[in-house]
Order: sequence, then C-alpha cells, then structure tokens
Amino acid sequence: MVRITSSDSQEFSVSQDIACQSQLIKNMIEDVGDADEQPIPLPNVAGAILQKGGSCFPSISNAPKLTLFAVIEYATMHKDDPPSAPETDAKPSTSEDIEDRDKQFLNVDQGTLFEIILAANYLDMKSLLDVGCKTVANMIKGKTVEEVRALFNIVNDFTPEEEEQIRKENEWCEDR
Amino acid sequence: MHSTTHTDTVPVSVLQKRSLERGSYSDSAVNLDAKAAFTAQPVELITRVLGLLDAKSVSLVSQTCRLLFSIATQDLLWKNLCKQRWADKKHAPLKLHPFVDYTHLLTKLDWQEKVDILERRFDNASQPSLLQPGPPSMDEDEDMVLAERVLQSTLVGVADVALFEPKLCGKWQASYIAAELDQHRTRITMNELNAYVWSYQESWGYFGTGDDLGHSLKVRFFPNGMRANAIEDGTARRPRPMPYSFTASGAIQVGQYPTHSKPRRVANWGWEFSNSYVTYKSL
Repeated sequence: MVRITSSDSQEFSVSQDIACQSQLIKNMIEDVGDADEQPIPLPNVAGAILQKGGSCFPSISNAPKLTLFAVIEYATMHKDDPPSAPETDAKPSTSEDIEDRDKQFLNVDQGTLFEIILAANYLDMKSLLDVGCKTVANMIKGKTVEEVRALFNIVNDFTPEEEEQIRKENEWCEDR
Repeated sequence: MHSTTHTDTVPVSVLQKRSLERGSYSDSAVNLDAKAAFTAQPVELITRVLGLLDAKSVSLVSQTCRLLFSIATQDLLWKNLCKQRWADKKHAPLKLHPFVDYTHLLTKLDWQEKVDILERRFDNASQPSLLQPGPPSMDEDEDMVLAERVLQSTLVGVADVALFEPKLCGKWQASYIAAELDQHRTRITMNELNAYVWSYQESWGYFGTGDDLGHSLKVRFFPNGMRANAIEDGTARRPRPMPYSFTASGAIQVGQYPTHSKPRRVANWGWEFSNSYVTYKSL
C-alpha cells in the first residue's frame, strides 16, 4: 500500500498498482525506494471533504474538493488495463475512441472535468489526461463560433476589424 | 469494478453527485467559475485539447476570443494538421505552401523555408540564377535577398491560383489553407509539369513494341521542351522524345498528336490528363 496526501491533508491509502498509474507517484516511489514509511504529498491536488460513505456537502466552498477521490476511482477502474503501447507517430490521436465507462466517469460538469484534467496532468496519468482532453474536444466539435463561446462562457474581445479579418482568413472552412 | 482496497468504496456517483450540487447553484459564482474554466486552463492543456480537433474546429476556436486565437493559430498545431492532412496526398511535402502571400509572415520564415517556397514557385530552368544551391548561408544580406525574392515571386508564372493573403494567421495555418484552396486549381504550372514524373499509359497498347508492351512507362516533361522517358541514360527508347507545349487554355500539346485534355487534379491531389491515345498521371 502507498499512502498519499492531498492538498487539504487528506490521507489516502491505495495499492501500489493503482497509485503507480500516476507516473509522478511511480517515479517518487522508485526514487525513494520504499514508500511504506512516509505518505507522498500531492500539494497540487485537492483531496476530499467527503468521507467514506458520502456525507453531504456542508457548503459550496467545500464542494469542489473531490479531485483525488475521482482520480483514484479512475485508476482503480483501469488497474487491470494492459500497459499502453508506446506512442507511435503514425497513428494520430482522435477524440472518437472513448470507452463507455470513461464517458460515464467524465459525465460531469465542466469545472469538475477541468480539475480532473489538471490533476491528471500534474500526476502524469496519460490515459486519464487523454480521455479528459478528448471529452473537452468532443464538446467543441460540430459547434459554431457562437456556440463555443456560450459553451465556455467566452467573451468576444476582438475589435470588429480583427473579427472581420479573422473571419475572412477562415472562410475556407465555411464552403465545404 | 470492485476490489478490496478501501478507496473502491468511493461511489461511482460521487462525481455526478458533485455535478448535481453545482447544478443546484446554477446562479452562483461557483457555476460561473466552472464555465470560465476552459480559458483558465494552462496553455499547454488547451493546446492538447486543440491538438485532438480537426482543422475546421481549430479554425472555429480561433475565432472565439484573443486568448484562444493566440493558442489555436500556433505553428506547432498547424504543422501537425498539415502533416495529417497531406500524408496521403501527392506533391504535398511537409513544407510551407508556395501559394501564400507571405508579406506579413516574412520575418517568421527561416532560410530553408524561403528556399523551399521559391523552389516550388519557379520554373527553375527558365530562371537558373534564382537559386544557388549550397549550404544555408549565415549572410544577412543574402537572407534579405531571399526574402525579397519570396515577396516578388508571389504568383510569378502562375495562372488560376487562389492566392491566400493572410494578415493574422501563422505560416503553417496559411499553408494548410492555401493547400485546401489549391486543390481546386485548374491549371498546372510549368514548374510542376517539369518537376513530376508521369506514368504514361497507352489506351490500347497500340504503340507498344517488343519488351515495352505491358510495362508501365514513366516519362518526364523536361525543361528543354522535350517529353521523353524519365530514364535519361538512353536505354529507354519509348516513348520517343517529342516536343511539348502549353496551349493558351492550359492544355498540353505533345508533338502533332491530338491535344490532351486540360490537366485536372484528382482526389489525392495528383494531376491527370489524356487524349484518346495516352493518359498521363503524375507520380
């Protein structure tokens, strides 16, 4: 078992094969040698206010603190996956191929999704990072400029001249 | 999924539950923060997301706001899109496209890129002094001369080209777009006609003699005005060398044979033209 602590000092005990899906943790364990003694601090990842069994959210401010729980949940779900093949140049990644269980797992609000992606990036969990980014990419696909702005609450800060010029340079993709 | 570690007892619904919690405060600042989260992500993560999109979607994202414009127009992203798009296309090396007006991008071009652009724009034979072969020069003056040539040569000797004139997008995005526009071009340039090797297929095998019959012949349209077998060592006798020229409409005339159809681009961006005897396809 490996002990890890989140930014809010929650301690988690997870089996090594689950923890080592994080390349960051794997490297730490390999560097330290024996991880049984000290918990591994993860100051950039919020842990969980929720205790086992799931008490309620006491307040809004405490609500967004589930990231490490979520990440561990994902790692547990994928602990029996075969090791991912080394990246090949030949096969460009697309956002189409998301497993159903991952779709289900990431069927969350945007804020949560981005926290998971950030955590996956920090923890160096490539498969979770990939599937998170694919999920965001799929949200963008097939939308118009206005729809993407609405989706991400983006304020159009172009001057009218800039906007017109950019629209002109992107005309090629309209008439296809 | 189940196993024995206690972390497994985190219910699957925990994230969904949080979503519901957030949803119930839909008018609160929490929800607004959540919605602004994409543009608040580190640039490398936004780039990673955009790297999963097709060119059309990336273009679209670039039109939403300044921040996303700066990320969605990165050369790195577009060079990769070019690589994917051009991989199975003919005459589409991973080089900057010649049919872009580089006026606003000139300072972004390195020595080799300028040379590559010039090479694909010009009929090298008719302007032999244009490109001196040799190693990249560190000579600033020479670099300026090259830059000047890139500017001046915009559209030299080319007809029916939809020149792309970017002011804001990067050199690789400009090249991607220029290539998309260029696939509809209806005239081949002399430079292209000279540069490519062409398969030469006789319609009936009628002119075939001896060993050559049934073999796929390869020809070139040499800059000296002769169409001949691509093998220049004199061992290949067919087809016989013939003078060729462009007609006014851009079709190709070989010797006294019936004029060929105007070259047309096929789905893989190769060129084809034919008369009732022969079909040429660029290789």
